[in-house]
Amino acid sequence: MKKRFSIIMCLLLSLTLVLSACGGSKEGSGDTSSAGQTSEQSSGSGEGELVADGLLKATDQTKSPEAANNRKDMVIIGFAAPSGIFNPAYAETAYDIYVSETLFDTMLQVNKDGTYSEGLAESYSISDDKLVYTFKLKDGLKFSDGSALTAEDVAFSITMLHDKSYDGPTDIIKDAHIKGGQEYKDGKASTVEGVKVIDPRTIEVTTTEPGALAFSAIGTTGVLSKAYYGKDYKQGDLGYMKDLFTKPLGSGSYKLEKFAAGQEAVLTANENYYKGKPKIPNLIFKFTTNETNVQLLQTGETDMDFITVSKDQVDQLKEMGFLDVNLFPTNGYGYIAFNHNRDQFKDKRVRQALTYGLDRQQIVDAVYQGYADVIDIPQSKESWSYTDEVTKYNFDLEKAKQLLDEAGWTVGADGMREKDGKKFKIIFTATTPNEVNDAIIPIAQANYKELGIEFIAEQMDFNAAIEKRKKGDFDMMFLAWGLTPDPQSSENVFKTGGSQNDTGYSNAKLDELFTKAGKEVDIEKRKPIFKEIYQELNEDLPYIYLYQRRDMWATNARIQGFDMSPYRRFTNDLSQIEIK
Amino acid sequence: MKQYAIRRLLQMIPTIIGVSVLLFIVFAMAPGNFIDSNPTISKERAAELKAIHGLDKPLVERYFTWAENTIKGDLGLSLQHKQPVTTVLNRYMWNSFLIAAIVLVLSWTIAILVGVFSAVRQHSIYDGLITFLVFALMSLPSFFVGLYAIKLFAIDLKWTPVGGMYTSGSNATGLARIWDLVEHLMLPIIVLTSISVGGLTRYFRTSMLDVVRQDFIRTARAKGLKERTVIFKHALRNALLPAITLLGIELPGLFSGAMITEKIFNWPGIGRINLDAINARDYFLLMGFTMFLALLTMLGNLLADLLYRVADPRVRMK
Repeated sequence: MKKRFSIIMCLLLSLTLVLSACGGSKEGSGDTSSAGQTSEQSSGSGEGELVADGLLKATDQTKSPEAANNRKDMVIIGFAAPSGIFNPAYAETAYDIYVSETLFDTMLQVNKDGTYSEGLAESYSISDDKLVYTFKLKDGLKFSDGSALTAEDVAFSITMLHDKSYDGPTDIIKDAHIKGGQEYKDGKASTVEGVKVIDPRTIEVTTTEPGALAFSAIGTTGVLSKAYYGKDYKQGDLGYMKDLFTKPLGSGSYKLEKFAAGQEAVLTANENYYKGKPKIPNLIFKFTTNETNVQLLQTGETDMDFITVSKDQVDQLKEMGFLDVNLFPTNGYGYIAFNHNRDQFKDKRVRQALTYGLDRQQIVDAVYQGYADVIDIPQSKESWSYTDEVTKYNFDLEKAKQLLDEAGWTVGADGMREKDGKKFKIIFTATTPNEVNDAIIPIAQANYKELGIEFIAEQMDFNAAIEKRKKGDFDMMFLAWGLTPDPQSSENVFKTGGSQNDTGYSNAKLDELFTKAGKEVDIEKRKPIFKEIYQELNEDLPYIYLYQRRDMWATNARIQGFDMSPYRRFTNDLSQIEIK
Repeated sequence: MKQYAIRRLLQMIPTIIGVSVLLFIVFAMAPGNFIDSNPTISKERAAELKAIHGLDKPLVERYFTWAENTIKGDLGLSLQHKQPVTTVLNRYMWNSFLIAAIVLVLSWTIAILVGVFSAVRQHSIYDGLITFLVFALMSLPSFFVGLYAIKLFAIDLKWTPVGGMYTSGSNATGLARIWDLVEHLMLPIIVLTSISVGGLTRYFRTSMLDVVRQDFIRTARAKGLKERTVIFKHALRNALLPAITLLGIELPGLFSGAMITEKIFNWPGIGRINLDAINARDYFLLMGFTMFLALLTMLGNLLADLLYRVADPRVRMK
């Protein structure tokens, strides 16, 4: 027995030795290589300070792995697995949308700043009463099977969104208000009255009220072939569409050859593409996971992937040397919502005090290590509607205390603030696991304690937290919103009774401004209105605006020609990219 | 025997109904739902969508509609995938099955060999070494072993691919394609086998030790049989009896997928589809998949009991 014990001890000891030796050598080699890299980087990017935006060019393209270099006529782009819904009317996850956008084209294409310009359409016009939209298609448009793409196909694509059995994510009635749309849905009409084919290249869409979102909603409807998708169509029954998801036929830059669920989608260039046949004949979308997408780039199994931004990841990608790293602001923002039905949050000064009194920079830096900005309005700085002429709520405890005093929340005997005999206490509903909440909770607790406010965190599963929010059973809560290219859709969030306004927020001035902006279709006229909207949102603070983080695409530098923005996805460039 | 099997099968019916009611209630009561998680649609549109999918009806009615369709073989439509649940399961389940089946065969073979070996030489240095290794493997978390294996074998040594099922962009057919699959299977199988072999080895070792000490083994040795015959013919057969139960329990495991390893090795299996379905509250997919596993669990138990009767005359006697 004793002998056995000593043998095991010996084994254990020798094993620890082996392990520690491994660790030592690894650290050593890691150190030297990173030291070499730092000097290179500092010469490359000026002072060696953090570059959190824009394109970081590859430093040494010769490091590109052989596996990637051997693919002379093929590009492999990695992203998370789609569900296999390759139809622009039904695609819901970002990944299904990537594939759908590659396979299908639309009349309008989105620009880098979130505005739109002609895609399949040659020109468009909007009537003076802002009710009638006329699109003229380019000449000689074809689907990938060679059949002609006409206004009939566009009309079918818009009509089917109004079908009673349509269960995709588009809400065309809310966005476009096309005349006769509801009647068609209710089965009272056999066509959508407002959708009219003038000639094979011209389509006219009539709406019932001027709407800022109508233009993009109509113009970015993915064009489906009526001959292919419409041949079995009977009003009220779109069930067959689901059988065609993985057998798509569109007019996009590539066509689908093969879809292996959870593995890859194999595409080939569409020779009938209206901008000319794409330069790279073969394209593969490989479905990757966060765990290994960096490794796949490293071994050359993929040429490009969407990588979660963190300092470690960015450093690792830069260190590889052969990757162009494109960082841009995420199209969305994080915020802490107030429950406006609770008395303590009804006073604007209290909300301002809670914003001044929270060290947002510290929270954001703790989570994103420089790869996120603290924001003061709920809009991306890349949007055409963005404005910088607003109050900056930089961390200022004195100002916060002063505002609370003004609002009547005085410091009681125990150092805590109270008003009308009620203590100021905040129940913070936090989703978990969530790294932002992990940073907010300790910082807010410390900051608000100095203001004399008790901050209590309640952690729960995401769906449970959302349910609480819907019921209005919370004080404050951190969440994030995604943004659409058009800022009008934020009215769902901030207008009184808006479909996503479940914080009970109501501001008559904002309601009026949103309504006004919603009736304009000219961007130049909408800009000043949105400036006013954001100034009001900045002043009135329905939320504590927290941060806008970064998205990142890393691309092997052998592929050139991407011109992305938060609005303009990589799919728009697929016909233009080249292998160098 | 036949009568016993039929009786057991009939007993399964109330159990499965009970399980389905319980699952349905649990999933329905979980906060949040798929449709309300879309922030861009209006309340009217959300109501329309709920009506299309029958989510606006009272819970009891929804259960009976679901049960009726399920009996007819229609498990409903996955909300996330917009495809029949059976199609979705069919797409991913066989990939998981492939790995699980290979791992099952490998880990059982290794565990039996190693278990017997260390039991026969109980208290020897080999026994100590194996016990140590087995415990070490058992206690390592799969995500760590998986990621480290990728770093070591795929990136540094370049012996195996990083993940996935086939090499993207390869047009290999026939044997070359099968070899491609084998290369991709290597890492996940090694990791999963080494994790599951630990417990099994302990199990077989204990079971073998029990048997080896019994009188009939002493008798066998006393009448001069070769040690090999004693161990493999007389002892092992008896030591394997309890393993039948274990095999029955493993049946649903063949189809349930491995959430963590599938994500790490980017394997297109059902485990992570199930995880996504839970997060997205994809009711029909969840119900379909969980019920399928529940059914397999019951079948596995039944099968184990029946096999036990075949293998062990003592059970048959009762």
